[in-house]
Amino acid sequence: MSPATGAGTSPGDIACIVGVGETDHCRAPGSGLSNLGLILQAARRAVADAGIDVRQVNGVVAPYLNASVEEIEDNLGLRRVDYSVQINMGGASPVASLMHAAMAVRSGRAKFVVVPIGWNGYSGVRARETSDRSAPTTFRKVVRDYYLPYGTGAPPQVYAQMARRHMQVFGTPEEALGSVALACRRHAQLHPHALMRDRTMTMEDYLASPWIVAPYRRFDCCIDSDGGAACVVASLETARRIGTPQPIVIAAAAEGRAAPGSEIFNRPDVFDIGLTAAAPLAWEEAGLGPEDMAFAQIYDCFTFEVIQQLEELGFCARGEGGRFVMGGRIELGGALPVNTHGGLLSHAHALGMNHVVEAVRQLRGAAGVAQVEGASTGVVTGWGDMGDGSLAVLRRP
Amino acid sequence: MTTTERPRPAGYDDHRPFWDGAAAGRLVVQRCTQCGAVRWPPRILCGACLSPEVEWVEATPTGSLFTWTVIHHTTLAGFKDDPPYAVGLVEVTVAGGLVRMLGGIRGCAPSELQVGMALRAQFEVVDDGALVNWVLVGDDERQET
Ligand SMILES: [Zn+2]
Repeated sequence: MSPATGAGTSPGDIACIVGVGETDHCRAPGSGLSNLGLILQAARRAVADAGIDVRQVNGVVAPYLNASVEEIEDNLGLRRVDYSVQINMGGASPVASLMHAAMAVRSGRAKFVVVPIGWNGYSGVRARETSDRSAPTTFRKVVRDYYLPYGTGAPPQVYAQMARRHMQVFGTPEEALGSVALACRRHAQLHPHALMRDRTMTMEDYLASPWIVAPYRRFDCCIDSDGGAACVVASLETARRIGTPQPIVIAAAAEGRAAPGSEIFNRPDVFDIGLTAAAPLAWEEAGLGPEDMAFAQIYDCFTFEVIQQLEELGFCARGEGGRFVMGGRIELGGALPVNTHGGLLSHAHALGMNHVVEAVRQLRGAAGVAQVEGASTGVVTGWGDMGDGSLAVLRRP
Repeated sequence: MTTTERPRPAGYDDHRPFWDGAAAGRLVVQRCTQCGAVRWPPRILCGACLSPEVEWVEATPTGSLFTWTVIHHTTLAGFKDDPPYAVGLVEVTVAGGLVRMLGGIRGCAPSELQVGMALRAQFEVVDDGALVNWVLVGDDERQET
């Protein structure tokens, strides 16, 4: 480690993930739990994985709107909460929460921070059918007044236009989008709990899948599912004191929003996203770069967003992402395996916290047949709310 | 009637000049009176100089196609019978600035769309204002003759 890295030079200054947990993921007939119930189950499993008494937790980062800090605190029986915050970056929230948790433990204010998410993304209110007419925010007012009257406004209908622009300007072929879908589907065949396990896909299948919002086909879109996932963050010093067998260091974590944050269509450069500013911050803080990564777990709400994030992370130049993902590079055995659990496209839609769990699993060497051999560093991203972005660079101690 | 089930703008009074302009067949956007920066969609403050002082300036109601999507599946009430339909972003130059406006793209088979195509605004009066859709300049002229 370079002494210049923000991750610190003493174990007390270094944050790490000491526990992860997941609920079961399912579609029909639904989880049978409330959103809060899923969040709590994920939290309990992460705390158990950390091997601590839940009452040692004194920090809560609640990354999504489905539960308040108080509900989490009360149900877990926490005695005190010295640090708490709720993050509102849509799907970028879980990974952004790692930044907040890391800062909380590095400052010494919190000893153990729990970061739990969960939702009934399949059986509950379907995100893609939501059209909030009460419009409390600028963005929702824009959608209500200037998008919905034209029959558009749901995330895929917005993001598909970004994909189209990329395809037109840079010549990104539809097979590039298909390559992302295929990589995720192939990796899902190797994960015991992936929802799309046993449903194989070929490029012919991909190209034959029906249009939803062109250029997005059905197989460009993530699956809806019920479930949750969580992690526990502590300092490396604490991890060593309690004997955590395999702490995974948060070498850096960062979040970003492109300007204007609420209007993706009117950014001076339409391909600027949250990661554009956040990624260089994180690489510098980690003292690592894209070339050091053994894998990337990329928030894959839709296929093109993976291509765009790989570009903004610096794995390739802007405009080159389509060619980058083709030819097997992002599949296990390739130079940069992406979404080795299957991602939101083929594993489950646990708001991307399942990507964090998978990254930890890989770095612990516990990924079974999907193991990236010798993986000691990896990156995980979040994406939400019209291009908000977050990333965490993780490594073995 | 299907059209009455469609989502309608609800914030007419937030941006009255835009809706009044559209109802009269004019495309108007905000410009900061202090620094001259043009902005869309409307906001309270100018992000360039923080001035709340604003005027509404008229744009020539033409632009070029920046990007688009073709919607084949929708759960939106009032649009269920429409797919496939094209919705896109149109880049409009106004008062030295550039804004991108979203609207329906009409008068052309979706398969023929290309970035950079010239479009003209088509105003459709509804309620307290007007929707702004876009038609290919060539097709629009053919319709008029
Ligand atoms: Zn100004």
